[in-house]
Amino acid sequence: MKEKNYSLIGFIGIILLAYGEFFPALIKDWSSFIIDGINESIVLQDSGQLMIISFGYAAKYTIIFFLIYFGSMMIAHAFSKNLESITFSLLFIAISMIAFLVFNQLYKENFSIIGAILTIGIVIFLQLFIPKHRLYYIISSIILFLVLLSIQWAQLIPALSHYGFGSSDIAVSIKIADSYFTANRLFNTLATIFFASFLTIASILTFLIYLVNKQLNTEKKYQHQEEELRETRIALVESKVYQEINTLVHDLKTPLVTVEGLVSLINMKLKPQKESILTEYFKRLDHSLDKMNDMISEILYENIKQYIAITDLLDYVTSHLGLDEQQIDLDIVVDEKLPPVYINKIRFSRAISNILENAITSFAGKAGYIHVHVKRIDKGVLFQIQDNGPGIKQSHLEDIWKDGFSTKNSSGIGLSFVKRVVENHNGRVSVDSVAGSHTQMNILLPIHKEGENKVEYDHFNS
Amino acid sequence: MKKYIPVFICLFLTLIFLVISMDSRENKHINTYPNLPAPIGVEKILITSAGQAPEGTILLSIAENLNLDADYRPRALSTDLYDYQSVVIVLGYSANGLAHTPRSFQEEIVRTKHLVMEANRKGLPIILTCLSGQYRADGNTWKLFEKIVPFADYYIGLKETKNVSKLLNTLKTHHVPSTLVNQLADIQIPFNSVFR
Repeated sequence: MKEKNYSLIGFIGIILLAYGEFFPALIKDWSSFIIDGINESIVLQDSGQLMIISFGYAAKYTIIFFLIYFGSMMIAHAFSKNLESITFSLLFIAISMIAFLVFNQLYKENFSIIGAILTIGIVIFLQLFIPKHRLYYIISSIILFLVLLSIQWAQLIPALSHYGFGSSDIAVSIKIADSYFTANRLFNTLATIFFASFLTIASILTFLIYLVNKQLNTEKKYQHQEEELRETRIALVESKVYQEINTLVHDLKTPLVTVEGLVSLINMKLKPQKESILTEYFKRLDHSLDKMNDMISEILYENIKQYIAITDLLDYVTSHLGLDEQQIDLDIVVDEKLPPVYINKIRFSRAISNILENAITSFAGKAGYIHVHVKRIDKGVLFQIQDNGPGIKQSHLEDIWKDGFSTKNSSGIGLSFVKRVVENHNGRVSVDSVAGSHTQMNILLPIHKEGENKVEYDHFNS
Repeated sequence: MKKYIPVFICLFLTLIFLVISMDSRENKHINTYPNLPAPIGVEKILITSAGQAPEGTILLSIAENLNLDADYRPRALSTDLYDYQSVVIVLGYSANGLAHTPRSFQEEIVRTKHLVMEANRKGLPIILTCLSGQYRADGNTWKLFEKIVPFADYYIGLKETKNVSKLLNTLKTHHVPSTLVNQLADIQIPFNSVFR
């Protein structure tokens, strides 16, 4: 998950809170407009003008309390670092209540504490249903704005005055004026309608956002399941392919044994002289048959290993690479006096080939270099394979080792095979990559003393 | 369920404050004069404010409806009394109203005190009215009330107010006749009785 900058969130929260606290001092003209408007509506006995003034009142205090509560919300988030935690909600209550009391103390407006607690309570309740993703602050700001607007109208309902609502200076002035004009019938009706309307809009909006988010989550879940299904299918196909290859390779053993037997029979029948050319041919035939037998065994049994010089291994790998039509500079450096490595030659070569082929493919025909450097580190041999291809995205670095992961619509088993083979050799594989710059694969193999794993070899060879 | 705890805390606090607000109301039967038996004031009337709440304009409107010769000068000083035969003070502290004057609350208290003392010295009747009832029954309004009430000749207010017993006892202590009305519009009758 993307790391959030909580210091910045906290800083913006403090700025908003401070701005909200001192906002009334910056909009004195607005206050004058409201006070003069109330006086004028009384002189003219114009309840319509009083209604307009009440819109000005609702707007002014909605903006002020929006800044205060939204700032408090951000500060609480910065401290709790988790919007879903109970600590966030409790901190939000504490910070916004302190800010509210400071505001009341600064301007002696005598705002009702019930209105403040109710606003905070409704906002906390509704935000439980708001998804906590990147749009959280935009959605919650709209909900907060609507709730505040609704509560500001509740402050203007004269019938609620008995319960402590609407005790602020301007709300009182508006309600007293309305009491003179209509004995509070106008504001009991209209303010209630506005209060209920805005609260309903806020609730419906939250509910809709909740439902949309739920639907999106379900879709994501389905997508994830489809992805898993696809990976399973690929794994199944791969597994079948391996099985087929294994069977085929295993079947090669039967004619090989026959060839071995026949060669032995011919040798016995012909009984060639020790110095003759036939003896040399038979030796070479036996040697090739033994080599083929070993290769088949190595393919079939991954734990069958042998000591091999690193230069021989790399020669074997590079002899199979198709670099003829590429503009790639392959540079191989092997430090001197490196001991032979104890490996399954076929599988380990395939693993190195996979890495090299990935690097070659990444150039897509363009010029570049691949540097292979093999050196000794403590009790191991490190294979460093670096290329200056397009690199791997940071977000993909952990996924490249997974079965089926591919950005090129391939089977996605190349690197997972590399990892499996290296781990089977008690080694470690890692990758360093900077997108657009380079990629470096590191394979660290432990050095075995000769004869150390012969038991394993003998067991599988028998 | 745990995530709802802060919501329940807010709900619980709201209920507590709701109960506190409701308890502060007194539902007693109140006996006051319906109006003055004989007029005590003559025109021309100075309507001024103590606390700068905008309700003074309502009283001016009532006075105009009653065809009374009155000026509304919310910031009138003791030196402005030379032209008037009666003083009507509209009580009610408003932070916003006071913010539109160059005075602080302490200066407003001093202005009010000097005004009522001068009116008393001149023998002008002082009618104290409070049109805000429970809305502005705060500490600052009470401070202004305490400064005016020793010099007041008549008090008109609303029945629906906080600490009504305390209010009536204070008025009684200073021998100020009082009328408490149900609705703001009902204030016309006692107010008219002051002058006619």
